[in-house]
Amino acid sequence: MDETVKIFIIEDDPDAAEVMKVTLEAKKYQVITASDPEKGFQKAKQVKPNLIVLDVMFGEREMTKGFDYAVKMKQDKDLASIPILMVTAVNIRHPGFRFAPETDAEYLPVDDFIDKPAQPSELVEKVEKLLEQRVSRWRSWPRKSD
Amino acid sequence: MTQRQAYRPVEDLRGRITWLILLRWIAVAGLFGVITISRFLFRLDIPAVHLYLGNAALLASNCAYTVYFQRMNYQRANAVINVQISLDLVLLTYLLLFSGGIANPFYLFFIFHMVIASILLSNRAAYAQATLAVSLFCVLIAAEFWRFIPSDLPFSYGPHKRLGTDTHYLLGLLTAFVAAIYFTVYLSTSIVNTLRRREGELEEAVENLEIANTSLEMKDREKSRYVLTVTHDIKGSLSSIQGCLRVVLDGLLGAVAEGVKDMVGRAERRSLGLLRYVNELLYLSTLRSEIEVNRQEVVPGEIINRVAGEFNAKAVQKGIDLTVIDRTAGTTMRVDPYGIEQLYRQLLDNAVKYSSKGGRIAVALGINVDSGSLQLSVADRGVGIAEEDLSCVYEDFFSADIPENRDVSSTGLGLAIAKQIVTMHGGTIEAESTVGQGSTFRCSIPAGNDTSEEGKSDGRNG
Repeated sequence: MDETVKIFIIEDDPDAAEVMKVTLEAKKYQVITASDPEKGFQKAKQVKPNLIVLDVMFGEREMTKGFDYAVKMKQDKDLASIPILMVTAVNIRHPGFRFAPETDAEYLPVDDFIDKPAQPSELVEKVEKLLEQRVSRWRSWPRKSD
Repeated sequence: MTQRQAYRPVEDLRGRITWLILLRWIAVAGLFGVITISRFLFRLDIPAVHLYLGNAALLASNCAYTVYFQRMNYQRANAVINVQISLDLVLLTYLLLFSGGIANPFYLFFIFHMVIASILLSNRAAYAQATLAVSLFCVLIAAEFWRFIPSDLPFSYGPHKRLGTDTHYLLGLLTAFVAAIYFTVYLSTSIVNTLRRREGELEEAVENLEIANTSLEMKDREKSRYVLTVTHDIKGSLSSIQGCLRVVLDGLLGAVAEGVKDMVGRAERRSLGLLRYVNELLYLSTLRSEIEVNRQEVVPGEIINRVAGEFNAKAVQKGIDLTVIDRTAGTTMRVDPYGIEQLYRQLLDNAVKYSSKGGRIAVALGINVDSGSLQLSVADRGVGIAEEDLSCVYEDFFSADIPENRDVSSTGLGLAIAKQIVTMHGGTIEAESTVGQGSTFRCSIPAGNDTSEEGKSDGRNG
């Protein structure tokens, strides 16, 4: 495993972030976290991680803020090629409902989804798969300014 | 009285005036018939010209009312009805004058005019009409007394030849008439008053009921939303608890002693159970707070096979033979995809949970040929449901108290969810069972292919 593989977690629940961090660190990844999506977005541009784990929901009132930031990252030339693993908890409407790249990635420029609570084995499996892929499938998502 | 009439809807007034006009048409036709038959069939020597003239006046007045009625200002409806009835009374008197006066029994028609006035007008106006009727009757009596009425009329051929000669008789008649008229108005108005009061009370009651119903529905939805928020918050914390425990159990933080692993494992299993419970409560509340069914084109047969697949491992583990017979042949329906999936899942979960080792579960899915509705049956050979419990299995948190099933992890919400999904789709669910031999759940769900949204908002309390 490459020592310098960096995974960037943007998640507002500190415990959920910690669980993911510990899980991934056990696999010898370097993990950086951010709890605020805007700060995370800025920080990601400096860190240049190999993978971004992005929570879909930030607080009760911003249920889909993660979607906005996924799009924002794809529109940013520094971040566009980094794969995004989206942590979904949108089952507020339909618990058990799952996002899937096959059906939902058409609208959301993320490479895969993982349901909350993210089980360690599943998280590691999805992370490894995305790291193998290396480059986001959505790097050519229409950009704003270019 | 006037207050009560003030909020009387226009439709009511319109109906009353239409009714009065219709009655008058009948009167015109009847009178024409009576005059014609008397004059030309019985060859009675009556002043037909005067009577036809009176009838023509009635006809003309009714034509005028009909025309005026089209462009009438409904605030003046009561005044119009008053004028109509007064004019009718005058015309009746005119007709009686030329057809025998008080000797003509048609003077009884004054009475039913009073009933009409009592029904249509205010109490005061009804008594005013009664007074007018009495005055007009006095005119008839005076006409009789002073022999204004031609003596050779058919109605004057009574035993007394001329009534007008007997003053006592005339006084008696007048007294009886006055009493009859006012008494009629009194009785009619009291009945009408009672009816109007009841009507008002009824309207008020219906209105109150509607208000109560709406607020109850709103409260119910509010409650569901509240539960939704609370359970969602609980779910977030539970997820984190479970995640933290999992990290320990997986030894990500270093080796864990067996005893510690066992205890943390217990805690993790309980948190997972609680998570499932919260998920189901969350889903049930979501369903109950939803107004419309989220209908999409789905293939129910595909979903049953997928869900049954999920239960295969569990069934094999318990030595249960799980068979699915899908006779839908890939038919599509417009239903809530996740709802249908949950329905299957809850019924299968229930069947597996209450099946003993080595049992059998038969799932059958078909389409009703006539109605096109989806028919699902899930039959197990498990412990069964006692007859007295059959009606309450769909209640929230119901869980049969069966000793050998103590270890069964049940939220008691599965069948409540199933029932909610079915009723939201406008369908039915029923269960039959014999204790010790098993249970069968049968659901029928309308295809929902037509655009009419049948049963979209009912089943709130399922």
